[in-house]
Amino acid sequence: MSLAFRIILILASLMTTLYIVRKIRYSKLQIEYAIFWIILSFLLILISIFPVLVTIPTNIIGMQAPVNFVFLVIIFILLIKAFMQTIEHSQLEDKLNALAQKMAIDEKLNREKQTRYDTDYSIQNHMKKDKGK
Amino acid sequence: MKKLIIIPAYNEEMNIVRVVEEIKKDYSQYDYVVVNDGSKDNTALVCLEHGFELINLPVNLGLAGAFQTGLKYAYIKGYDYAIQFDADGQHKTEYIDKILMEIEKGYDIVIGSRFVSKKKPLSLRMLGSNMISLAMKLTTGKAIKDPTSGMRMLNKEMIQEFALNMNYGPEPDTISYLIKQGATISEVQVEMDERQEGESYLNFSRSMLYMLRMLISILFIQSFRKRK
Repeated sequence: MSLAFRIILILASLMTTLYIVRKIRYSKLQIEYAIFWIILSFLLILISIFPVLVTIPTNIIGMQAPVNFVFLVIIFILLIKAFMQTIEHSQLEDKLNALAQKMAIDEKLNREKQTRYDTDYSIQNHMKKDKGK
Repeated sequence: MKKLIIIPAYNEEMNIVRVVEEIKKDYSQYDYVVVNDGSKDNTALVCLEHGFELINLPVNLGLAGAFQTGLKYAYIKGYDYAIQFDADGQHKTEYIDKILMEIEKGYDIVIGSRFVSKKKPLSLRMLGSNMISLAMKLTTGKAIKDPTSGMRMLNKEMIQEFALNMNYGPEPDTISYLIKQGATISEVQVEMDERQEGESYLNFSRSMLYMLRMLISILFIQSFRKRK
């Protein structure tokens, strides 16, 4: 690996981390979700500074090139993350449905109550008028 | 001074009546509200049958969301103090007054702590508690003896801050963040019971994840968070 390339890798991973930290700083995301990105960005910095972390396991498994190992691992992590997000997404949609339905049904029930009250009220008024006659 | 006891409840139909009846009987000078966090059992129904003060969430938000609901209610109704009180019977009512007396001295947050004057027992859970304490000591310089205690009272400013912002869960990392921002915090010795009915939410793997989340959050994330 050329020196220039390594410097680019280190700079890129540092900037990624900085970007993530900035977003967390201004409370753009919840800490629960921030933790994953913090760990991942640290991992990137670590790998860019110490590439042996990649070359050793590459040799152990007997892969051709370290870059293949990096691709394999990162793609796998992102795949799992994408799937987990699909689960979270589905659960959110389910909750959103439950909320909208509850609001709409409550509103209908309230309206029913209101019309019943209004009818009762007008009937009472009529009866009062009748009595007055 | 208006004081509110917030009781977040998730699947607590077995415990909720005992806890609330005790508060109604002996601590009627406090208002209380049960926040049912979308329970799968009959927690809401039991509360309605007994005529308890109830905020009934239609979906499950988790402890942070449920507690925040109670705080929003406290904020809207202008309460001066609000305390989190567990629905499972672990928290004892006789310490509420003691905590109130402490917060009236002018603290922002007072924690009902198990280990002010008593030593921590040696167990895996307490090892976790010690690690969180150490992380807080390292980042804030202040030692909180029982950071994971759920029995915390907030004053009016804290009620507003917790009610209106993101990332203000009732957890040690929020406390750590607030200490750094200059909030004053005190601890009061209390005792807690083992939970009486139902199951604890924290099993082993969840506890490990919780620890990891807390440590990364306290040691790293809270140090660059910006206060609005």
